[in-house]
Formats: sequence, structure tokens, C-alpha cells
Amino acid sequence: MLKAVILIGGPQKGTRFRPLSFEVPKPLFPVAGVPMIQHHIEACAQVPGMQEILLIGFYQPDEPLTQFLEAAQQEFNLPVRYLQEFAPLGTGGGLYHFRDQILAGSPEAFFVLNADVCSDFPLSAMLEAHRRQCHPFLLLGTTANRTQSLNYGCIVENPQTHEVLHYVEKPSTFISDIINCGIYLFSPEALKPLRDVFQRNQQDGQLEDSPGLWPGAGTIRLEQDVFSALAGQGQIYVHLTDGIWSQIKSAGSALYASRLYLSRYQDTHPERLAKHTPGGPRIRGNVYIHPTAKVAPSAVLGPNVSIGKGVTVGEGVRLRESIVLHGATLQEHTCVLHSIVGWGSTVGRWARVEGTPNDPNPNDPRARMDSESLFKDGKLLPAITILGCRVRIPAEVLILNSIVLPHKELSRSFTNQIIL
Amino acid sequence: MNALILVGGYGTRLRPLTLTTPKPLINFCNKPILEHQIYHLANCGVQNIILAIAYKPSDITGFVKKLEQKYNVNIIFSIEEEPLGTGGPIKLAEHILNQYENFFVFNSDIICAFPLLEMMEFHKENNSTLTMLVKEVEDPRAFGVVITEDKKIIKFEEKPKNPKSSLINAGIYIFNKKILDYIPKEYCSLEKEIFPKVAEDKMLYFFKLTKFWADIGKPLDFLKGQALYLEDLNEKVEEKDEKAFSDRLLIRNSIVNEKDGIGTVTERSTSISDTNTNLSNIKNLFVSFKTLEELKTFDKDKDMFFKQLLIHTEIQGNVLISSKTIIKKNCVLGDNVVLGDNVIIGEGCRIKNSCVMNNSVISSYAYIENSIIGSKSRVGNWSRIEGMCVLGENVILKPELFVNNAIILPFKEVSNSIYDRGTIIM
Repeated sequence: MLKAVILIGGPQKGTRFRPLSFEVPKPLFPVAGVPMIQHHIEACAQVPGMQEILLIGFYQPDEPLTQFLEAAQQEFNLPVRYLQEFAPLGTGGGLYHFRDQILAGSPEAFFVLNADVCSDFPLSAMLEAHRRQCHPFLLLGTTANRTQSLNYGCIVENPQTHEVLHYVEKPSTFISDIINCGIYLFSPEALKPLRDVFQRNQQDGQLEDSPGLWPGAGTIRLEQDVFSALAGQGQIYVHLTDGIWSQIKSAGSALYASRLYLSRYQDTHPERLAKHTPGGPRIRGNVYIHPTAKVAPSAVLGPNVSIGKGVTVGEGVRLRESIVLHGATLQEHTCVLHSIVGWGSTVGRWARVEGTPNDPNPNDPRARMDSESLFKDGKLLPAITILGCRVRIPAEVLILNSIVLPHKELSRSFTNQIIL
Repeated sequence: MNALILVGGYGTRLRPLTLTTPKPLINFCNKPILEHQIYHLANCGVQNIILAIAYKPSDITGFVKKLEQKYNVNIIFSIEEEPLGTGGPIKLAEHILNQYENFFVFNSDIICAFPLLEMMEFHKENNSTLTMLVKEVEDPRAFGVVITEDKKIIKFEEKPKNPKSSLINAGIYIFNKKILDYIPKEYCSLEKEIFPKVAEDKMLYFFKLTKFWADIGKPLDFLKGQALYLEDLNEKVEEKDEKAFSDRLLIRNSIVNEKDGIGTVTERSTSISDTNTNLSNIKNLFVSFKTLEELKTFDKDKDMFFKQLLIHTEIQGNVLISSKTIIKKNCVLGDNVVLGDNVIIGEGCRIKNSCVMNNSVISSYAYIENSIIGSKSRVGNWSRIEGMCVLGENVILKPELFVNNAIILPFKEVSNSIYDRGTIIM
């Protein structure tokens, strides 16, 4: 039997996902219409022999999280449990801390998935590879171009045996064009090296300098402490995929991930894609519309649009490459492009809300999202426009390449700004 | 008499501080903003205070209960379900406000000398329907400007480009309950709808504030207000104002520069007026306390405390610390510096025109100027923070960084310098 562990992190992490992460934990942010980790759970539930899904993180188990867990258990008929770390323990610390729960029932192996990735989750293929040759650690890898690979964990493999010979997280110079997808399959033996790292970290203790700048006791970073350390010792192997994959660190990458998932829906969930119906809005490309949303017939939607619960889209609205979150209202004749409209926000009539996409080059199949810093030389880099929760945009204004924090009521146009 | 404080919404102008703390609870000179206003209202006999807020108050109910006990007042929440502007909330609470003939209305961002008793006397003497506190300022263009004739306001202009007067609306009012009839039960703006009408009907009086005034709704104004507040404390040199200190739970230690340039530590403010000293020669170290008991206990050993501290710490101008602040040696603090509870200042730090909020740690040899450091933050060794920076709660700056005119949101860990002005770190 198999298990899966999804690492969901906690509120201190994922600050690049602000201001969207102020309202909802990043793992629950809707991508292509459903919470980010629901894509993970769907994929895991389809693997024969999957017995249990564990979420490990340090969010407080409040409303949104508990509701999501209950709904997931019912929909997938699988136990989905949340194990809360007492303090942030790093990407590996939680696995070690909850090892008994993970190994209960003696699973043959367990998947470990980072919550903030978008993927087609080739879990069965990984399982087959693992069963052919059992090793403690199997990493899913994909390719990136030379410059972009520096933003990710780089893997040097033996092309015949697929052993990971060398692993460097965000190297300063080019090492390999194979990058770590953040999706792993571990056998129970993997916990032994984790234990060694844990005990070594305990002995080293904390540096005299400031706490919080070095990992404290109990934290284990999978990438640096385990993969880098054990590479080349016959323990870590990689399985390559060329399916869709992207990291979801910022709002811009959430929009890109949404596009990837929406395009996959053609094959996996065609019922989630909106179709043009008589008396309904015009649909171009892949669009997701929640059943409770009200969309006027003269609106034109898509491509790559997700519309959430209870959203109102008025007459003559043009919506493209955007996500509109629950309860938001787009009044008549607005134009929303490359943007995320937050929960309960209102966009006034004839307003134009526009962002600039930073998507990977569509002509290069190996292109990935760039490292997304907001500023360069003191100026805000053009990026997608984000309206936080309950933002009110007045009529007839332009909001371009800006980020508006929650509960703001704007009174004029803004360009290239963060509005606190 | 009753009062209403327009607390309003999310305090977005004071972000990033208000991202993690509701504005009424943000400390200004070591006391929550709301407490400053409640203190003055309670002092002039106000029994019932209504907080008009636009969000669920669950974050502040505990704190408000403590204020009720401390100042022996009733504090009532009046929650706006939908936006009512600055006037609507007053109508919403009318059943309490019309209990007495007159009531106070405060804008929640105002810290000033609060001449409430004098204002009340003036209001009653003149049988005024609406008395507005006004203040003379240098640049009135960002405010509500009033044009006066005799004792009344004849015209009211909101944020004029070409102001015809330098008197502005100071955000403190006394309403006669008759005004409740003017206000509709819906969204209504005092500044745009009510005041111009009452001015036209020649029923709007003004009371001029001669002492300090500050609107601390934005970080820059917050620090300016801090300087004015501390300067006002400095000026309280008459005997009766000793009570003003213990009332506010402050102990003052003044250092006077005598003519021959040798500094002398004096304990009592009376001796300052005795020697006819120029106020600008005085350096003040104020210490704030949470309770009268703490103050009295400290009072017994205060000479020792000040002596030990001032051996290796240089104070310039006005500095306010908490009784629980720890300052290591060789620091130079001031002018206009406030350090909160449990703040630790490492060796050799230079802090000026800034505020460091509770539970933060400033590591050694740091230089902080014109900035606000949010609570629970950690600033690394040899940091240089300048140019109006605002750090939210729990921000970690690694050592040896230069941060210039940046706003850093809560819980960020910053490892690189920020050289370019106007950066917002999310």
C-alpha cells in the first residue's frame, strides 16, 4: 500500500504570494478553479493502492483548512489528515518528526509533494520506476534552459542509471539543465538518512549569532541537508518527465499554473471547461466558470480565465488571462487582462485592470518562470495586477501593473505601484 | 457627557503596521493610540465612549475591557455593517449620544493637547450647536480649511489647492444633540455635507488650539507627532504638571546644560524654572510604566537607574523609553526617539528621530534614523536604516545591510540591502 505526504508550509513562508496569502493559506488558493493542493490530492487518489494522504505544515488548523480537509475526504473517499508542526521544521523536518504516522501500516513507499508546484503528477510512472529498481529517494526531474535553471534545484544525473550524482539548490553558475520538480517518491529506508541529519543538527546546536538566521534544532532541509549531502552515494535517483510543470511562488506563477491546468482539463476534466451556450457569454479557449457565478451574455471570456463562486460579470465585460476570486464583481464594460481580482472586490464600470505577464517563453518548451523579484533599480517591474480582498476600483480608471492590498478603496488610476 | 470616536476601518494609511495590529492598539509614545484619547476623555468626566468601527472588533475587545477598568468608563462598540462615512456612524449611535445635551466626536488619528474642558466651557458660553477644534498650520492644503469671522466658521473647504486661510479642522468636535437631526441614516460625510450646512446656518463655532496637534494616520506624520508630543512633555515645567507625568505613568529625568557646559542631573522640574534655564538646553529621558505600582516601585531606585544608564548612554533632545527597555553601553539616542517595552538596544547604537516598538531587538552598532521599527523585529549588527523606513511586525534584517526609504511588510526576512528609495518589500 502507498501513502502520500503533501508539504504545505506555513504562514511565515510564501511571503512572495502576498497580498493573496493574507486571506487564504497559499496551498488553498484556487488554481484553475480548485484549491492548489486539490490537484495533488486528485492525482494521488488515482494511484492504485493509495491508502492515506497526510498534509504536513505549520498553519493553524482554522476554518478554510478544516473545511477543505472535510470536503476532500468526502470527495475522494480517502483519509486526508493534517499534521501540524509545532514550529517550522524545514522541508524535511516534518517528515522526520511525523515518521511514525507516515510509516504506520508499513507502506511500500510514500510520495512527498511540495504544495506549491503545478504538475501533471506522473505518479504511476514514478512508481513503476521505483518498483523496477528500489532506492530510498526518487526525485521527479524536468528540464529548464541554462539561465533559468539557476533558480531551481539542479540535478546532475548519470544518463544510464539515472542516479543523482550531484545536487545543488539554486547554484550560482550553470550545473545542469535538469531541475528538481519538488515531487518525490521515498521508500521507508529514506528515513534513516533523515535521522542522521536530525541528530547531526542537534549536536551542532545553534550558532551564537541571531536565532532565526540559521536552522534551529529539529529543522531539516531536504534539498541542502539530504539531497546535496547524499548525491553520488547510490541512494538518490531521478525520473525525468516532460509533462507540464511549474513552481507556484508568486501570484504571476499562479496565473501561469492556472493556464497549464486549464489546458490539461481537455483530457482530464472536460466538464470543468466552460462551453458557449445560447444566451451565455462568448468563450474563447479554456475557461472555468463556477456554477454559481453570474455571467452576462455579452461578456467575452478567455483564454485562460477562472471565475470563482458567486462572481458577477456584467454586460460587455472582457476578461482574459485572469483569475476572478469568490464574490467579486466586474461591472459593465470593464476590461480585465492579466490580473487577479481578489475575493469580494468590485471593479467599476469601464475600468481597465491590466497586468503584464511574465510567463515563460511559449516557444521554448524548456522555459520556466524566472526568479520573480518585484523590484529592479528601485522601480517596480511590470507584472500581473493583483487586487487583494475587498478592493474597490472606481469607474473609468486604469489600474496597470499594480498591486493593491486588501480593503483599499481607490479613487484614481494607478500605474506600476504597490498600494498599501 | 458622552463621546464617539470614529475608529473607522482598517487603517490602511498606517500599513504595514496595521497589517498585523488594529490601529487603535498601535503604540504611540508607548501607549496605544486609543488609550491616549480615552485618557483625556475620562479625565474630563466622560462616562460613555462609543467606538464607531467598520469591522468586527474581536481583536480589540480584550484590550478595550482593560481600558474600561483602568479609566472607569463604559466603552461601547457601534459596528457599521456598510460604509457610513464620517457622519453616518454618529446617527447610528444617536440613542446613546442624545442622552445628554452635548457630546464629543473624535477622529481616531488625532493626538494633541486635548483642551477638552476649555472647549466645553466655550461651547456652553456661546450656546454653540457645533464647536470645531481648529489649528493653525503652515501648509493647510492637505486638510479641511476653515474660514472664520468673529467666533464662527463661515466657510469650510476640504483640501483646497489655494487655501484662503491657514486654520484647519483639527478633528475634535463638540456636537449639540440638535445636530443629530441634520444627519441622515445612511452614508454621510461630515466634511462635505454637515459642516458646510451648519456653517451656512451660522451655527458652527471654532475653538483654536494653541498647543501641539498631530494627525498620526501616516508613518511620516506619526514621527512628526511623536516629536511634538515629546516636546509638549518637555514644556510641562510648572509644579502642577508633575501630576501630568505620574498620571500618564511617566517619570521624567531632565539633564540641564549649565552655562559652563557641564551637564547636571536634576530630578525635579521645579528647579529648572528656578534657574531660568532655556528649554532648549534641556535633554529629557522619559520612562514609561504600565501601572502606578510599577512607577512607585521604580521611583524609589530611580536615581540609581538614571545614574547607571547615563554613565554610558548619551541622550540628545527628548527620548522616551519603557521601564522594561534594555540599553547596552555606548549608545547615543535622540532627538525624538521612543523605545518600547522589552526592546533591547545593543552596544554602540545611534538612533534618531525614530520609534522602535515592543519586543524588538536592535543589534550592536546599528544606525537608525527617521524610521519606525515594528514590534518583535530584529535588526542585525551594523545595519543602517534611514530615510523614512517602516518595518512591519516581526521583520528580520540580516547584519550589515543598508535600508533606505523602504517599507517592509510583516514577517519578512531581508538579506540584501535596499539602496533605491521607495521600495516596498512584500
